[in-house]
Amino acid sequence: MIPGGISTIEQAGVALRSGAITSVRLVAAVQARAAAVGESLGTWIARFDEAAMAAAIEADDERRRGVDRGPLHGIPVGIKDILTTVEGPTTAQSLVLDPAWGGGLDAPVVARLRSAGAIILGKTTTMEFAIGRPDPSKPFPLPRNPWNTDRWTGGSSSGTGNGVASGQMLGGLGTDTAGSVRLPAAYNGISGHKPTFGLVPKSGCVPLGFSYDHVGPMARSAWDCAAMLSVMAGADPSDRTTVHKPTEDHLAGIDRGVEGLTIGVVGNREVAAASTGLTMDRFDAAVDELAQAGATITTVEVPLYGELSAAAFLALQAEAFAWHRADLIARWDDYGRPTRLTIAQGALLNGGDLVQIERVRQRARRRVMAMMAAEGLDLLASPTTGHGATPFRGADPAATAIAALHTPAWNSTGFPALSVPMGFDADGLPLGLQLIGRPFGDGLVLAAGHAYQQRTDWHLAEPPDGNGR
Amino acid sequence: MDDDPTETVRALLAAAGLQPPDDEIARLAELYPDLRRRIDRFHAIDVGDEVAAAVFRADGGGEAGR
Repeated sequence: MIPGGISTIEQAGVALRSGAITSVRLVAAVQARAAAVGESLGTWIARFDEAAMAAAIEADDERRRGVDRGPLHGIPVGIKDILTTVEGPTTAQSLVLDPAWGGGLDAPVVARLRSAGAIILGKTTTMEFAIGRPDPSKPFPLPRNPWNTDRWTGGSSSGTGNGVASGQMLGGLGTDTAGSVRLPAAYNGISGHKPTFGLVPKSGCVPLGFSYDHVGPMARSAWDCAAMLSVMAGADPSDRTTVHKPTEDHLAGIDRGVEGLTIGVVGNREVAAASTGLTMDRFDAAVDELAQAGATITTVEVPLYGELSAAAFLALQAEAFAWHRADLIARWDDYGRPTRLTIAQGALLNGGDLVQIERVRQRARRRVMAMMAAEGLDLLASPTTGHGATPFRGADPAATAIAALHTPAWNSTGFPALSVPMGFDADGLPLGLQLIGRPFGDGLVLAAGHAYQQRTDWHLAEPPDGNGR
Repeated sequence: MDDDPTETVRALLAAAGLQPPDDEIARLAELYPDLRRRIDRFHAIDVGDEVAAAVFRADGGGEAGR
């Protein structure tokens, strides 16, 4: 798709440093790709073509002068349109949000990418406020899956997911409140990482569920996600949920492999019950691959797993209602129907309900930590979702996807979780392997994903023509 | 709970300042029994003196967030 067969940030970095390609050529290639397929795939809310090319020229000039800002220098990325950028307004794919929201500033995480030399290509599609449904009644693009355009991309980081998969960007930002980085990563056949809660600042991101939201990198490979996360992570005074930890270079340990690690397969019945047989076969094969790479595999029951999964959806509705209440009262009809009906359910919980959900969440987090310690587990593993991308026709694609999600428990615990491609279903649609770590064990999670991708090439597979079959 | 939760839902929404049209109240009333059942599962769990985190921390706390 890109000159020189480049499809990853890692490959692009090598080519840029060797002089085999320039950032200008790289950006021109992805912009041409966006012009060709971006509209039909519903990838973009806004593209900043001129500003991006100017930044690419600057990156090449810096490189000629001997300035190297690191692995993201000159790399084109997309930003989910619930994160603010200086180039233009943020819509959250909604008619409701004040276009001035965010004050015309970069979100801290965007500023960090920009400072590391990343080229901001534009703003990518989402679901309304990251929780609505694909909604043709609203004046926004409808994101489609490049592996089959009759299928959904997953959400809510839809445009970043299909943009990376179709070669319109090498990486990008998503956000994840119940699986919104990992689901589109799985459905589009790319990698996506939900960091530990508190590792990456969320300020400058339109909130959905304050205590469940995470900003995460999406790209083809775990290596690429590690490169992005190394830049994105770190406390920021604008987000008091961020945790002061020493800045970590997640690429430094990326080659450690899985030798000597113990990985617990999530054996709770909910996982297999909500997954197709073929998904479980692909998952078993992926786990075998990790075993052959030196990991010890055991099967475990995650305590209060169902409650952890339910907590994310119930509490995020209440937290979202707290943020949206005034606008829901004043502008009910401006919200999409699925969005307003979902958020309004937050008004049906009472204070005691929310407190009890949060008490159970704390107890469950504690028990999972204790279980991992007692079993000597370094990581947990499960399929990301029970099946491949859902169709637009028939049932609500988002509701069908949510029923088979194996991601929300890890929003409730706040633990890091990575989705990497692990093969295809019977319809040729990608499936995801989810690796979960201990809090602030993001580097180990990414290293395990990288080890898996050193033995497989699912993450390098490209859609047949990048624009559906 | 009443067999028909429509009026309960209407009252809860009104208390929160929301007055959706009848068809949307009807849809929320359809969803309400399952929502309530999922919430009540949490109340059935004995968590002793566990407290909710005012600012959630994945590692349970220890150092100040800022």
